[in-house]
Amino acid sequence: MTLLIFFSLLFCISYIAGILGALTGLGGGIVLTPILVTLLHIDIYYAMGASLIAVMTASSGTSIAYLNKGYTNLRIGLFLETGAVIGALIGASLITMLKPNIITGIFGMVLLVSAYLTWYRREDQEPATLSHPWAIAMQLEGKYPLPISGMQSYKVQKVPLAWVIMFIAGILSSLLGIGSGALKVLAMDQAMRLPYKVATATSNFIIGITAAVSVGIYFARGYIDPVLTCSVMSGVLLGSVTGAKMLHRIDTQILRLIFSIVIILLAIQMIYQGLLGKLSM
Amino acid sequence: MRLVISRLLFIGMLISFILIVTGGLLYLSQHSNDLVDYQHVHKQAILLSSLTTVLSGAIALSPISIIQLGLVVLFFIQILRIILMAWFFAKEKSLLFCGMSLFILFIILTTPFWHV
Repeated sequence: MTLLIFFSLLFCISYIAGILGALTGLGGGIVLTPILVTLLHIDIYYAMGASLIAVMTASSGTSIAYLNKGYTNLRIGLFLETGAVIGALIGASLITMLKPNIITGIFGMVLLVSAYLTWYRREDQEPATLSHPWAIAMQLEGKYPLPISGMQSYKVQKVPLAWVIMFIAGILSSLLGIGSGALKVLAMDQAMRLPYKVATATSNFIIGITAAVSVGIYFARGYIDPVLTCSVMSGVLLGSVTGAKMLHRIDTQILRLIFSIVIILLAIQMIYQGLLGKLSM
Repeated sequence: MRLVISRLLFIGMLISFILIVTGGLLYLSQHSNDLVDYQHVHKQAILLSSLTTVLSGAIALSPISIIQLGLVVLFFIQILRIILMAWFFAKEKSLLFCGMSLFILFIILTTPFWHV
């Protein structure tokens, strides 16, 4: 197809990915890479490079709104991010050791897990009443604004477990070119028991940093194509800013359902292609 | 702290966006009827990836270099926000978090130079 059509198509896909990413705490990269690879037949390394750019964009774009509103917990974010960064380093060194179709297969399985996790998040869980000792020592507890007025304080649990989950998320982030927002949200939502909006906002904040760790390496290897990233970046930026503004108005149950279904379909595609070795170089 | 970082992100993203879109539109206007092939990595892509090449190319108004400059700005925003956090945590005397910020900063700045 011609560049113009390709560009426009990519832009639209990125826009939608940006909105979904902003609303669920995922970077949108997890949806973007499979679509680029399976629908647009883009080489997986290019797709991963583009998706890393998308993640950095979404992270920065959404954080503008979330920081302003006060949902992001910077201390928790930073603490968890150290785990993710160390993981990302290990993941980056694994990239060249694994064949593309293995990476594709792993990706598919991660997608399935993400779909399950996205669906599993429940907003009606009882808020935690006690914080983990580490959380108190590091002053990780916080408050977030309620829709109408006032602030709601929250507790933070299972700090070490969350860190380990983040470490694994970091490895996957580097290996697959995603922000691994799903795992990060898991760490915050299920392990630490943070409120949905706080987990989403904090996850969105840190995934850009994790992506930045891998981007340097990808850039040096020529995996970041300017033309691809151009349409992806602009689409994701507009999408994620739109999404961030919508967070308090959208019925997140429906959103999560749609997102999970999309991810499951993509996962099946990726695993299928990985098994057949269609993407082997 | 959060409001300062938010402002930084806003300005930085604006600059990055303008650069990338300008470069992109310029490129599109010249190449819109090219056929695309992204099925394999192009070998010459690796030649475009040093910072000096990007800067000199952007000054020469090459669309590709302008886009790449935008990407570089995007990358630097991430670094700047970590520096900001280190600064604010130092002012708050939270040495642990200042240290974490600096650690992450160190990793991000040095990894492109590690030979993996």
